[in-house]
Amino acid sequence: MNFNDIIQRVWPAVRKRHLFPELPTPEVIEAGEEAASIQMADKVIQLNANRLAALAQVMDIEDATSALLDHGVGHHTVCPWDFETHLKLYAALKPVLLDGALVKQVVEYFSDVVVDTHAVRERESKLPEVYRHAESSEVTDVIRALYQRLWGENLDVEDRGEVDRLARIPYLDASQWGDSLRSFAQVIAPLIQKEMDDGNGRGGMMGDTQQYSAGELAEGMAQFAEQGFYAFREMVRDFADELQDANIMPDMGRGKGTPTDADLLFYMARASAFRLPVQTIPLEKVGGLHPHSHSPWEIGKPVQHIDVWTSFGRVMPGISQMWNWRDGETHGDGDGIPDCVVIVDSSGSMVNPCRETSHAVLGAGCAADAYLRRGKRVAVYNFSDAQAGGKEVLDFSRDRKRVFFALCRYFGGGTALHLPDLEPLLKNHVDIFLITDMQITNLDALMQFLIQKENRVTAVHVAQNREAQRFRQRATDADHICVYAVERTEDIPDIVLSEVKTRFQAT
Amino acid sequence: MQKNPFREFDQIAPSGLTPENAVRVNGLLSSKRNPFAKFVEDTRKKRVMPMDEILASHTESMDRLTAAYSALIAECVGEGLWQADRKTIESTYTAASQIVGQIDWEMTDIEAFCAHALQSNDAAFFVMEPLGLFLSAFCNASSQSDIHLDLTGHDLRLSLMGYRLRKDITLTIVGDLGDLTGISLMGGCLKVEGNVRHYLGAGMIDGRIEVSGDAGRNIGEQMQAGEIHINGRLGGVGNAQGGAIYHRDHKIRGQKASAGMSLQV
Repeated sequence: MNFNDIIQRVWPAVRKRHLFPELPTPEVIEAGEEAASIQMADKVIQLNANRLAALAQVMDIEDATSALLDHGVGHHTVCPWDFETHLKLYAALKPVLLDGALVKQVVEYFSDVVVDTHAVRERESKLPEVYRHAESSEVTDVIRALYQRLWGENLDVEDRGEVDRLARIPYLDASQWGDSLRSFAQVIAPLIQKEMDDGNGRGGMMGDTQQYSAGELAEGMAQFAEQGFYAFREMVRDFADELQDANIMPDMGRGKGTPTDADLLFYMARASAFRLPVQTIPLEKVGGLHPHSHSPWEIGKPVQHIDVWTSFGRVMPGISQMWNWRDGETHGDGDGIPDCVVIVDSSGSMVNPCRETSHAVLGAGCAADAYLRRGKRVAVYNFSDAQAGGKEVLDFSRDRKRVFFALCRYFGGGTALHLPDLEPLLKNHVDIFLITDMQITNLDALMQFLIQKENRVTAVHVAQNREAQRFRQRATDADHICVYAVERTEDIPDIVLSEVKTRFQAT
Repeated sequence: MQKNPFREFDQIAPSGLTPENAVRVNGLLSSKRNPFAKFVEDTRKKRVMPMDEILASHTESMDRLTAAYSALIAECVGEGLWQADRKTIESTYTAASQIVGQIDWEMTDIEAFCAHALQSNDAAFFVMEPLGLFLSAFCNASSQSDIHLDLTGHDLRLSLMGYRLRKDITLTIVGDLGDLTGISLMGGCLKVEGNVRHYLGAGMIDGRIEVSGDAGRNIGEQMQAGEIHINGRLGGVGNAQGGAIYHRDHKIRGQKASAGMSLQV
């Protein structure tokens, strides 16, 4: 029996029933235990040949294939639809159940009920026939009994007491999915937990595996990062396999002051939600002339400027066209936005970014992201007591993971810069972004160093203190230095977003 | 006045349409008001399933119980504040019992109503304190001997649950509860799989209370008989007149009544 031929036959009808979703033709795979494995990365539904063969023994194979495809398409078009929705469901249940593996399984079962009920109600699916021959287990039997009650179909399963509570949940109302999922979990979670304890946890009626694309994962994580530092850390722990498969986990190694992968991902996701504007540097005259526009040639004007191609091959006043020449303007070799050096303070007076949300690191991350997004390179100078080795220097790079890894490193010692370290980074008029509490041992030397340079400097101090006042006063006369004070550390991302734009426009 | 360069488009219309015999759709002339009109209405038949009836019945039940609770609030609270003193608790419970006797309900409705009340943004549930008494009235009027309510996943803690729980009823509540849980218990068995706040089992006449989690201060205040079992941490024991209080199988307050005023509400 050639299942691919069967898929080719039933797929157009399935697509029509589901209003023509943009999905490639499904595939049949030989391996695995899942009935309908869904590869969300490339949007291909994969049906298991063994399960199809088993279903072919008890029902029409085309109906079975069509039903499994209904289920698969439903996950793309109804629930969870994308990783962001998946995480929203996860977030609704995680504080209640706590156990990440259990939460994920409950979410899988819930989305299966939504998808199947939607398919049967609105897509005339043959799924009831498939569930009539489904394998029996504690959880599966309850779900089948629920389907029997909801759909009014005889699925050859005994009615269960739990169904009284499950049947009242409005599965097809997406606006109530959070509350519905919690009500669903009150009944189903103990049963799933029991199966998991017995080593039989499967995760969903069809055993789906949902692998999202890296883009979907990043977008979902950026939204989820708003839930907070600790919630994000838990989420990364629970979805470690999915993130690993999508090659999103930074996996940067371990060592003193090294951020964990979860912390790194949090700052990367959080920073990506902000869109820092970066103004281009002003255009400069380069001294050369270039042909800009035409004007009629008149006697007395230089003949060599006549454009022969638009003058009909003749030299006649008023008819022949000559070029007007203009001075050229350019940014030089680049396109107007230079690279950036981010100097971030990770001394003991700053918040440890691996303990709680460090808005200094977040602000630095937003600034770095703004340059990286425009294809520019970012160098990082993360310092504590730099002269004693408490520093992390990253040369110019477009690798976002490496940049954030350097930003998130926390030393927690004294505060001093080793200025010769900065010299090699400050060539070619790169921009400088400095974020610190200004309680730097060699602050005077740093100020002198920055004033002498011609680079555009954006300095943000996160505390109001005497040193910050001194820095502001010294920077008053330097046109290329802009200093911003923040009353609250939480304001840093906002200040960066709005104020830097003003500062660059003023340049 | 500058001429509108797009005005001449008015004169161009498909199939000889003129502005007189056509309507304008998005600035263009068209013989049909909306070229996508046939897609607006989904003409495919949606299957009618028992699910629709179940949900409709559920919605109706919730509306009925919400209206009943609103009536209780209107009667016992009105525009003022509701305070948990003896007289107010008694009168509210009496009113709740009367309302419960006047409406149709099943115990499964009450379980669903708990979740509905705790999730709802309905103005009726802005005053939550009498809800515990309202639910207690349903439990006491129930013909079931074993009642199970699941309140997990909600931040709000219901107070006064298990008020006057009568003999032969076992009420199991999963989730955290508020103050005055199990007060004036009348021989029933109240099991709480979670934590409770202060005055657990205050003034209980008889029966048994089991709390798997923590309990606040004044446990068993003025209780006359019965047993209270607590598995978690204790905030403090009240001045009991009788009965016994156990903490992880250790009796911390004996059967012998101590002196003091009786608090029976």
